[in-house]
Amino acid sequence: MLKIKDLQVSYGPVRALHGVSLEVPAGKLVCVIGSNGAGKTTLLRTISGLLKPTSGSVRLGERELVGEKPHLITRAGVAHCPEGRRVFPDLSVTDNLVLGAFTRLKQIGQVEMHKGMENIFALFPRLQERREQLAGTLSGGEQQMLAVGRALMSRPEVLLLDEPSMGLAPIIIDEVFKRLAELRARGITMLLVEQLAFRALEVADYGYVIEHGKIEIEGTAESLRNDPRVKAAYLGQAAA
Amino acid sequence: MSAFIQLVFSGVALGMIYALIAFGYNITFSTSRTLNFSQGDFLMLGAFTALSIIGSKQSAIPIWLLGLLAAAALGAVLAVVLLEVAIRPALKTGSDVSWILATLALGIIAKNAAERIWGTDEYPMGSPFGRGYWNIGGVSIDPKEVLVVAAAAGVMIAFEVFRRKSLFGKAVTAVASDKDAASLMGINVPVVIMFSFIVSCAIAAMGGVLIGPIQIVSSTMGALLGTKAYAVSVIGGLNSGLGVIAGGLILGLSEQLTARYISTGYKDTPGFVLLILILLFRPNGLFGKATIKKV
Repeated sequence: MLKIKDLQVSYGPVRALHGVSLEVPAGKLVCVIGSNGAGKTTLLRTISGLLKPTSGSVRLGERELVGEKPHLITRAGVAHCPEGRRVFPDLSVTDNLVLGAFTRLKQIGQVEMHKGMENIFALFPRLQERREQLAGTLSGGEQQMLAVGRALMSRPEVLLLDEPSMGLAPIIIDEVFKRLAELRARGITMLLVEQLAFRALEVADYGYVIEHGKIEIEGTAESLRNDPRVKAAYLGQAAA
Repeated sequence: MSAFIQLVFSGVALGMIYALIAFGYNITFSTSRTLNFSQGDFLMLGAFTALSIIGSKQSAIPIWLLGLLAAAALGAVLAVVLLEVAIRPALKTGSDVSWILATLALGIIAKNAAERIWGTDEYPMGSPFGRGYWNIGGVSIDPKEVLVVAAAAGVMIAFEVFRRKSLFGKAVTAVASDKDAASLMGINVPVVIMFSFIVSCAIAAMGGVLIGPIQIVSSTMGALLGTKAYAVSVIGGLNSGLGVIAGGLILGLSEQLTARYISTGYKDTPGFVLLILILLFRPNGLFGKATIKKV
């Protein structure tokens, strides 16, 4: 479904990604784990067109996405829930969700869009309670739910999630990962990027470990959970 | 007493013109963090364009509306030129000085072009109302000033309603608060920015048609108006939405009252003193919002 091949990205003279290749099959939740500065956010920003790679390819089905403008990549079916949530603070919860459906609203019309919104509210009841509130007044956890809901409003073929746990209290993080597991059960294709390696591997089907802009280890989530190198690096356990 | 009320009303009319131009500054500043420092000259070109249609005498309403529309159309065309010739190339240099100078330069070109075409003379401009005044309870009110207040308020309210209610309007707000996030929604950000410039410049050009009949049309009419409207933007707050109305009224009234009770020579002083004070003590403006970011 989403196929990334040999992606190289530089910030000026600094190389951030050194030929990353990975695949997100339809209906699967794939995670990329790695520490701060490993290149996780760079990877997602390149997929969604906010950054231009120096070489490599990103394919959604048969379509090459490299070189496309970000709004067209969204239109093609990639929704990106960015790091730090980035909800629109001056707009209401409802308006944030409406903008999530921006690419589809003309085709589907108001009625269908509101059905989509009811689905989001079913998934995140807190958002329904606060539907008229400005997004800037929500708590961090609620903003994260809104950011995920907003991305889902476009009915994406692939949902990119950039550190949904960032800056949240542990109890809220539990809630967020519970929702991700629900989305996975609904068959939504997701590429999740996380520092919380253990939590990500619990919900994912498959995982990649990225370090210094390179994929170092990959495997099923289960095999990575038991990989001594992963344990040593991310789970705070000494390598056997 | 009635003289005082007339004075206040003139101040309000003047203030609404400032507010209208300032509103245009705010629209492009919110979406692009740039604004057009030749907005006053665009206003002047709008006034001259309309003048050639409306003429210098009282005109029929359809003719006047045609002049207003022509000015708006010219403003829209100028906006495209401004953005593609001056602002977008200047932004590539990465320096704020570039776009400021580029828009100022475009203003000088506009003024020189106007002098080539229409000369340096001053022209009176017609409107749907003649020279007469309305007498309302012993106070004589200039209907042209009523028109200014109604039209300026109408344009600003219409844009605010559009921005809050329509999908494209919400997209404008989204671009104003976060361009990357907006593009991730599938919003074509450069198109939204272009749209904001078209609205802004069309508003300025229409402002020329409103103020022409009250003041006088000349190639230099825009310079001071543009500068004062910029002061109003800063006083109200560059991201304050309708805060410019308060800013405009403060400036318009203080000018009229200073001219009447102190000296016409000092009429422009309070506005600029206020600008300096606001910049020193409230750089976000009276109604500007400090943005909250949750991490």
